[in-house]
Amino acid sequence: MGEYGAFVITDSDLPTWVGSLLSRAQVIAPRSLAGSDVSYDIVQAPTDVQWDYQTSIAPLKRFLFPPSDQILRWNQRNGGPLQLEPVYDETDRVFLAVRPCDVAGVLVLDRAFARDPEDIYYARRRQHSALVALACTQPGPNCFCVCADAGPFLDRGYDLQLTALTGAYLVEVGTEKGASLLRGCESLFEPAPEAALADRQRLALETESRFAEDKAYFAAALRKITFNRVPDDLWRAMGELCLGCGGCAFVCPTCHCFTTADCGQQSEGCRLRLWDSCLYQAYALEASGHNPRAERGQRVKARFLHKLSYQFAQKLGAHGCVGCGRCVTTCLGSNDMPAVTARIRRGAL
Amino acid sequence: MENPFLPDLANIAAIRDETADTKTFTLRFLDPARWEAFRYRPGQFAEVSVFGAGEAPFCLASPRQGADTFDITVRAVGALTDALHALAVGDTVGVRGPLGNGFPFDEVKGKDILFVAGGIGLPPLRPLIWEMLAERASFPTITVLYGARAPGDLVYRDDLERWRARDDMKFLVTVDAADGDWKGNVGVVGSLFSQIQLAPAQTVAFVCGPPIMIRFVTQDLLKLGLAEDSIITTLERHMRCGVGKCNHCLIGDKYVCTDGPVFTYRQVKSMMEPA
Amino acid sequence: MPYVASPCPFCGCGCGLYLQVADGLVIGTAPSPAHPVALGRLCVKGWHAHEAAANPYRLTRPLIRRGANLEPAGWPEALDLVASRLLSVKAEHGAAAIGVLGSPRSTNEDNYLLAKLARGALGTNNIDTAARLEALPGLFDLPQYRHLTRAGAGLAAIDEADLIVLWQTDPVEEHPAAAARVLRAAQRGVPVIEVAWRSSQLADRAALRLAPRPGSETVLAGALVQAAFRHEGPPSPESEDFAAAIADLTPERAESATGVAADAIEDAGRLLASASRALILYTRGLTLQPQATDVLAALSALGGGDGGSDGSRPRLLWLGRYSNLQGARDMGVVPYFLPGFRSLTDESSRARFAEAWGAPISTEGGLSAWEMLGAVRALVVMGDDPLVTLPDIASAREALAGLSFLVVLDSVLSPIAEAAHVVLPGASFAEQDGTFTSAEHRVQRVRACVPPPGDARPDWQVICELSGRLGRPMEYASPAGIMAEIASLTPAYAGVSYQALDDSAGGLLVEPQAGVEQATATTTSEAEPSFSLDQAAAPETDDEFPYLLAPDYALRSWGGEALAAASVCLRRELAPGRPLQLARIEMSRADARERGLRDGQQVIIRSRTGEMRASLRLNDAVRSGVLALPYSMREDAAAVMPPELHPETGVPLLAPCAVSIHQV
Repeated sequence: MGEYGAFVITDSDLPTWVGSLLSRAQVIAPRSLAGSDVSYDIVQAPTDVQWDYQTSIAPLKRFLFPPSDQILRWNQRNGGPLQLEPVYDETDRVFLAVRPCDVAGVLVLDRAFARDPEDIYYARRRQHSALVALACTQPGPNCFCVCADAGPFLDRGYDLQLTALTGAYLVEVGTEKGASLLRGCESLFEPAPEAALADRQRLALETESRFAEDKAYFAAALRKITFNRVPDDLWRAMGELCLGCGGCAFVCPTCHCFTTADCGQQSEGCRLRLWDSCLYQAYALEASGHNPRAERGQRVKARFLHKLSYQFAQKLGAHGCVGCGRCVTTCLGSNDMPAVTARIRRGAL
Repeated sequence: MENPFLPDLANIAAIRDETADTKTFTLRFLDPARWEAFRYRPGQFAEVSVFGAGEAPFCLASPRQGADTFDITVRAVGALTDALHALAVGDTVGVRGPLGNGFPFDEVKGKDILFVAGGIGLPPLRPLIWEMLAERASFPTITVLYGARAPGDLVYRDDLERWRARDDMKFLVTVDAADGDWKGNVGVVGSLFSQIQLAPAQTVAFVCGPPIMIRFVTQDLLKLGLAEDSIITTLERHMRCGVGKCNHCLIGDKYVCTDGPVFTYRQVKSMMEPA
Repeated sequence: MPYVASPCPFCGCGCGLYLQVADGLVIGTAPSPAHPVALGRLCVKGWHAHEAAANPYRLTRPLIRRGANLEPAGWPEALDLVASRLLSVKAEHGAAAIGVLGSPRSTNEDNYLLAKLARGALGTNNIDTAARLEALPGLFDLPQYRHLTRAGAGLAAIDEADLIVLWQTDPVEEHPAAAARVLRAAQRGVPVIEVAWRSSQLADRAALRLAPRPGSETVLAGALVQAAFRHEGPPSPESEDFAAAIADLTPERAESATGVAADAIEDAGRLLASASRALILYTRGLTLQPQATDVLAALSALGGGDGGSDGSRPRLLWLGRYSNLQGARDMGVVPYFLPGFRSLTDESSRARFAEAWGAPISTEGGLSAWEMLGAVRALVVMGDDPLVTLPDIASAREALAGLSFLVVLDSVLSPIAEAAHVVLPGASFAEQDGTFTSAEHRVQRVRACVPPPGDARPDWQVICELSGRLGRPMEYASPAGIMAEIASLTPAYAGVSYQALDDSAGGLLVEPQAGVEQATATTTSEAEPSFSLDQAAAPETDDEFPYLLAPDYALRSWGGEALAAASVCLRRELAPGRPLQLARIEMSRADARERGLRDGQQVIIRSRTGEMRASLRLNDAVRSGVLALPYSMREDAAAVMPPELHPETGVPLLAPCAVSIHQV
C-alpha cells in the first residue's frame, strides 16, 4: 500500500488530472496505433490515453534508454581547438498508466545503470521521470509476471499506482515524487475509504489466480543456470532454434546491451549509443578475428545466464525477466523465456 | 555526477614504428590537471577516440613515474586502428580512463617475479616491469621472457636492449622462426623455461599474449609447481564502453573491463564461459 | 507522435513495423503485433530499419561531375543540365538511345512517374530495373506463367501447408519472416523437404534433405515429378504431356546425374503426391539458375495447368529480394509492359495510356536492363544497383564508362552513382509518402516521418521537375494524387487509395492479373518455356577438375547493399572486419581434409576458362564436391566462372562450373 497514502479519483475527474500532468511534463501513456496495436507513446490530450489495454508494444526503456541516442557532439573549426560536449536529455516525463511489469523492468535498469561508474545519461532521464503504474486486472495470453514477482500489482517501486475500481481509480502514493504529481489538483482526490483498499486487495488476489499454471519454470532454470548444469547439447539445440534477429533484446524491458558509433568527422560529428543484442554473431567478435561466441548455442547460453542466474541477480537486485511476455510474441525462432525455462527444467527440447 | 563516457583531449606527442603493422603513440593531455588526476596502475587501460572514426581500448603501456605522457601501442587491424595509424604528431585524440583493475604490486612484494610475454602481450607488462625495477629491492628476482613469431614482430627494441644490459634482472628473448640475421633463441616462449631457475613456491608469474600462448605457458607453469593464484594474466574481449554497462566484454558474469582485465588463473578457471 | 507505421524497406516479405521518431530524427524500430505478415516479429535487418531511414551516408546535395570529381551544385543547374543532355542525345540518336532504370526499393509512385517520364517525355520503352533479373524475365511475365507469382495467401500459405518444399532457398538468410513460419510448421509436424547443396539452419527440422549437384536441378525436378505421378497420376492434360516428355528418365539416371539417392527422390515424390496443400518456396536461388524455366515447368506440372488455384495442388510461392520489386513491375518498369501488365503490343492499352499521359507511346520494343548497358548512350537511373545485381559486373562497368551521359537519382552515393555525370539526392523511405507492393502483392503505405535532409527531395518531385524541362509537365499535389491516377488506369490497383490503406493494418492485397487479357505479350525472347532434359546435366567433373564451383545467393548476401550498409549492426553482422582482400570460398571439412586444406588458407581455384585466388572457409553445410562462392564476390571469380547469356532468353547468368582447388 502506498507509503504516502492512498486516494481515489472519479472516472470523470481523471481527464482533468491528466490535463494538469500534460501542462507540466511530457506524458507518455498507452496509445492506440494501427489495428489492435497499443504502445506507450507521447500523448497530447487526455483522450489519447488508452486506459483499457492489455500490454504495450514498447517497454519504457524506449524513452529512458532510446534505441539510438546521441551522447557526444564535437566540432573543430579552422584548425582551432576541438570543442567536445555531452548531450543530455532532462525532459520532465510522466509515464502514465504503465504496467507493473514495465515498472519492474525500469527498476532493474535503474540498478544496472547505477553500478559504479553511474551512467549519467540514464540517470538524468530517470531523475526527471515519474512512474504512474496502472495495476493489471486482466492478464494477457503471454503474461507471466506472477512468476517473476513483477505484478500484477506492485508493492513498491512506483511513484503512483492506479487501480481501476467501479467508477473511480484508487491512487496509491509510493514516493514524494508521486505525491508531487497530485499537487494543484488536490480537490480531485479524496482519501481512499477502507472499502476501496479492500477492493484493491481483492482484485490483486483475483488477478493472480487468473494466471494459468506455472508458465515459466524460473526456479528450476535459475538453479541449473547458476550452477552451470544445463547440458551443452541443450544449449546447442536451442541455438538451432534462434534465427538471430535480436528481437528478444530489443523488446525486453530489462535488456540494455549497446554499442557505440561515431558519425561525421573530427571537424563535425557525434557519437551515438545504439541498441545491440548479444544474440548477434559478431557481438563478441574481437578485432583479432577471434569470436569467443561463434556458436549460436553459446550466445543463447550467455543471454539466459544474464537473465536468470543468481550471479547476475546479485548485481541487478532482481532477475532480468519481468514476465511481460513480449519475447513470446517477438521471437522469430523458438526461444522465448517460457519455452527456454521449460526445456531447462525438462533437460531436453 | 561525472560522465564516464566523456573523453578528455590529448595530443599525439610522438609516434614510433615498432613493427610493420604496429606503432607506439605517446600522448599528452591538453590539460595538465587531467594528467594529475590520471593516476593509472600497470594493467589498466584507456579508451582512445579518433573523433569520427570511433573509440577502442588500449592498455597503458608506459610507466607513469616521472613522465607527463603515456604510451599506447597499436596494431592496425581494422577501421579504428587504421584511422589512428593515419594520424600525425600534433593531432588530437580523446582519452577515457584509467579503466580496469590493474596488476597487483604491493601484494607480490617479496616474491620472485617472472614475466612471460608473447608478441603484442608485452605492452601491458612493460609499465609493470619498469615500476618493479624502480623498486628493485622489493623483489628478490625479476625475470623477463619474451617471444614473438619473427624478429620483425618484436616491439620496444630500446627497452629490450636496456633490459638485456641490466645485471639486476634476467632477460631472454626468442622467436618462433628466425630470419637471416637472428642469432638468438629460436622456439616458442615456453622453450625458454629450460634456461631459468625457478623457486615455484615463491614465484609469481605475469603472463600476457595470444590466448593459445597463455594456455600453453600456464600449463607449463602449473607443471613447474606454481600456485593457481600466482599465475596472473590479462584477458581480451571485444570492449565497447569500458565501464561495465554495454555488456560486450562479459565472460560469464565477469566484466573484463571492470572485474578485469587482470585475472589470476584460479579466477579464469572458475569462469562460467571459456576465457 | 513517435510511432509511424511503415513496411520494412528490406526484402519482399513486407513485414510491418513502426519507426520511432524523436526530435525530427528516426531513432528506433518497433514491432507490430497487429500486422498480418510480421505478427509482432522482425528479422535482423528489419530491426535496423531506422538506421536505413536515418542513413548517415546520405546524399544531401546535387552533384555535377567537373573534371574527375563530383562537386556540389544547385538543383536548377543540375536539372537543366540533365534535361539538356537527354534532349540532345534524343535529337541526335533517337529516343531508343536512352535507357531508364527504375527502383526495386523506391515507391510505386516514384516508379510509375519514372515509367511515365520514359515513355512519355523521353519516348523510349527502354525502362527496366536490373533487379527484375531475379523475377525470371521471359517467364514470370507470360500470362500462362503468371500464377508463379500469383497473389493469394502468400506467406500465410506457409501456415496452411501440409508439406513445405524449400527449393534452393535459405529462408533464414533471405526471408526470415518466412523462415519463422516454416520453423513453426515443422514444430507442428509438417514435413519440410530441403532441396539445396548448402543446407540452411532449418536443415535439422527437415524431413528430407536432397542435395543435388549444382546444375542438375532440372533432372531432380523431373524425377521428383515423375515419382509424384507414380503415386498419384498426373493431375491435368498438360501434366500428362509433361510425364510423356520425361518418360525416358529413370530413377537410376536421376541418381547418377544429381547425386541424390533414388530412395530419397521416391520418398519426396510420395510426400508430394499425398499432400493436399503443398507449398514450394523459391527465390533467386532458383530464378537465377540457367535452367530455371525448366525447373519451374516441372514444378508447375505438379500443380496442373494453372498451378493449384483450386487449392489441392502444390502451390509455388516466390519471394523477391526487394521491398518493391513487385511494385516496380506492376508500375510498368518493364520494357514490354505498360502499368498493370498491359502489353505494349495491345493497341487499346497504348491508346489508353497515350491519352492519359498526353503523349504517344512508341511501339518500338524496349531493351531490358542488361541489354541497355552497352546499347544506349544515355542512362537515367533511379535507386537501382546494376553493379550489385547483374552477374557481369565488369561488362556493366565498361558499359557505364562508355555512356555519354549518366544521371543517378538516389538517397546514397551507390556504386553506379560514383560513375555518374550528375547525381540527384533523393529521399529515403521514411521521408516521403508512397506505397510499396510486397512479393505477395500486399500494398502498404510508406510514410514521411521526417523531412529529407539538406537539399534532398522526394524522388517523385524530382521526376516531375525533370519531365517539365523535357516538355511534358507533370503536376501532382501529393503522392496520393499519383496513386489516384494509378488506380484509375490500372484495374489491379483500382481499390487502392491512401484512405483505404490507412484504414487497414497490413495494407491491401491486390491481384495484379486483374483485367489483363490472356493475349501473348511481347517479350525479349521468343522462347516458349517448356521442359527439356537436353541442357539438364550438371557440368562434367573429372580428375582434373573434380569440384563444382557454384554461386551462393543467400549466405550473408545483404552485406554489400546500400540499405544494410547504413546500419552499424548490420555492417558488423553481414560484413565484419576489414573488407576481404580475397573472395571467400566455402567447402566442407571432409572435402578439405582430403586435399590437406585448412580453414583460412589461401587457395587457387582453376577452371577450364581461368583461375583465381581465394581464401578458404570450411563449412559443413556445403555439400561434398561443391565449392560455394558468395554471389557478391563474383567479380573476383569472373575468370573462373564467367557470366554467360542464356541462349534462349538472353538473360545473363552464372552457371556452376568444374574446378580444381590448390594450395598457394
